[in-house]
Amino acid sequence: MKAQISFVEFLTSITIFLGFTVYIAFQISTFIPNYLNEIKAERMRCEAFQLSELLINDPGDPVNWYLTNFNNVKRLGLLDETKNRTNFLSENKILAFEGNCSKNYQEVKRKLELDYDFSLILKDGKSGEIKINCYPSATIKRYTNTTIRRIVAYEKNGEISYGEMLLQVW
Amino acid sequence: MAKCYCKFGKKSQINIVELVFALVALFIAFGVLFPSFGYKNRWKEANMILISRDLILTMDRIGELYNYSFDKKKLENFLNTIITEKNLIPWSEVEGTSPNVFVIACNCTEEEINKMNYWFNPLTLNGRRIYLLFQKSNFEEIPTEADVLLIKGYKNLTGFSQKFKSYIARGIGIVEIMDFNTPEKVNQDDTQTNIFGLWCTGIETGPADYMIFSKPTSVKNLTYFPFKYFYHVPIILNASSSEAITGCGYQPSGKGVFNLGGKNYNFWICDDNSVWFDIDADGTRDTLVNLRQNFKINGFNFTLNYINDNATISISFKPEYIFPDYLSYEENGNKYLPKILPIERSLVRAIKGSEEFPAVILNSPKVAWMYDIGDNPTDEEKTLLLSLLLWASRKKSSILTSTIKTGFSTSYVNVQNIDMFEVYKFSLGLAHPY
Repeated sequence: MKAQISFVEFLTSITIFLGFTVYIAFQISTFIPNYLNEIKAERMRCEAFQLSELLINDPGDPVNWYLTNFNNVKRLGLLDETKNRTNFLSENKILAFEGNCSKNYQEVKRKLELDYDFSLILKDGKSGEIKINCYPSATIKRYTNTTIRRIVAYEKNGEISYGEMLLQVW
Repeated sequence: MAKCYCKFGKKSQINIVELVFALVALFIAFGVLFPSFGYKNRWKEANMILISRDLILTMDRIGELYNYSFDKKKLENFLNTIITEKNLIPWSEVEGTSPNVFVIACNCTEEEINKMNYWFNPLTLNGRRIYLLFQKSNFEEIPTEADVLLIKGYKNLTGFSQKFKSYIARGIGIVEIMDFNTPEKVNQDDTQTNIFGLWCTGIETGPADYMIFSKPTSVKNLTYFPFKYFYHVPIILNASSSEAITGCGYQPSGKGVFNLGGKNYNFWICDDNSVWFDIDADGTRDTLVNLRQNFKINGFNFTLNYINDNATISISFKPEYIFPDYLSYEENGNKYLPKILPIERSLVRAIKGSEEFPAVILNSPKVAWMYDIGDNPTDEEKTLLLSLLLWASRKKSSILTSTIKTGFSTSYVNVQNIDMFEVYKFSLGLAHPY
């Protein structure tokens, strides 16, 4: 018979076909969870970056929110509204943020409209003094987390200083 | 192969070995064409760019960007306090302004080099020190680190045009200070005509009337920067003796001479904030000038920029300064005036002497001819030479050097305006060694 194929050839073809199928299925099954994790991490990085930008380059709403009742604050931002220069924070807002966070972390998180938990540390570049140390009282460790480092300037007792801001989101 | 044909005996059948080969090839092709799934983010790189941008902005916000731009030690200290990652390597560059140190290769004698060091060093501009390092050199081979070639006194430069072109291609500026007493010395010298773009129409008798800077109409004019430097860069005036003056903080006060238009005007450094000036060349104190204050000498405007202890002061010329005739030279009791013009006869390249007799002619990119100022020039001639050297110098320098430059660099345009409006680009790069 001209059209006939041998059993061995048939077996080989089937094996190879199955091999391909299993290989591709395995690739997809291993990739999808990683891919989903990466997407989650990417979203988290975006939020962390946006939050860091908001904190250092937005004065908040109202712009002098540190003078108003915290319940009336619509948005938190640390930019010095009197200088209005990027990466320049207000000393009063730093103190107010630290004070409010230590009292009510959840409220601060709500005002930042953040879906994730976060921690924020602001360390003085010259003295190493911690100006802000904001973190939740109970920490649940998650597989995915993102850390952003920003360098900022601020007024400290009438002198201009600089520091490192570490924002972690998980 | 033959074995299989024997076994099955069918021509259309393919044998197992061929099949296996084909499949292996197919797998390899699949592997190449459809690589395994993967997701690559460039978060690490984005973070580095973000940090370098933040660093520059913070330097600016704390008011130290200008200092960190030019001071390697200060920049390193700042970065060490703020960069905690040990494997992050920084580097920095400045572009668009004179570096802190620039090298001038000159065919000068030791004595001439010593004099120029005394005239110009250390220059203070916008609060930073600039050092002009003069090095003895010939025209054939100038030091690799040279920024400017200075040719002092008349030299026959015929045959040097190719050599000079190669220097210009390396970014080196050329300034020649020489007189020509025959038109042939200009017109038959290919370097003078091709490189400096000069043409001498003849030697006329009699002195020139006066010499004034041609005011540039645009920043694009070739004369813009020498004009700007002349009217802003503070020239050093050294105290050479001392005299006790009642009411002054320095006892005795350092006394020096400001040589302007061939006349000597004395000055006395009173204290770290004020200087007495003789403004009519009669040798007596006339006016007490405070630091950063404008004042007049012989009707011309100046600013007192710096007082360095009881030893030196720095003053800058302010518009409009009129030079006396420095262009004409004397031979056998007669005054002669060479009429040297830009070869295309257009005066846009000329820093005018008098209306018809340019005293300085510039050429692109950074080449200048100036009349010979001799061994004992006046202070305005020194300032004119200094402004040409600054204009001709290289405008790019590495401050924080690194062998690795594969990371990410962020640029920032900064300005400083203490003595002169200085605009430059500061770049900060960050890289991982692996």
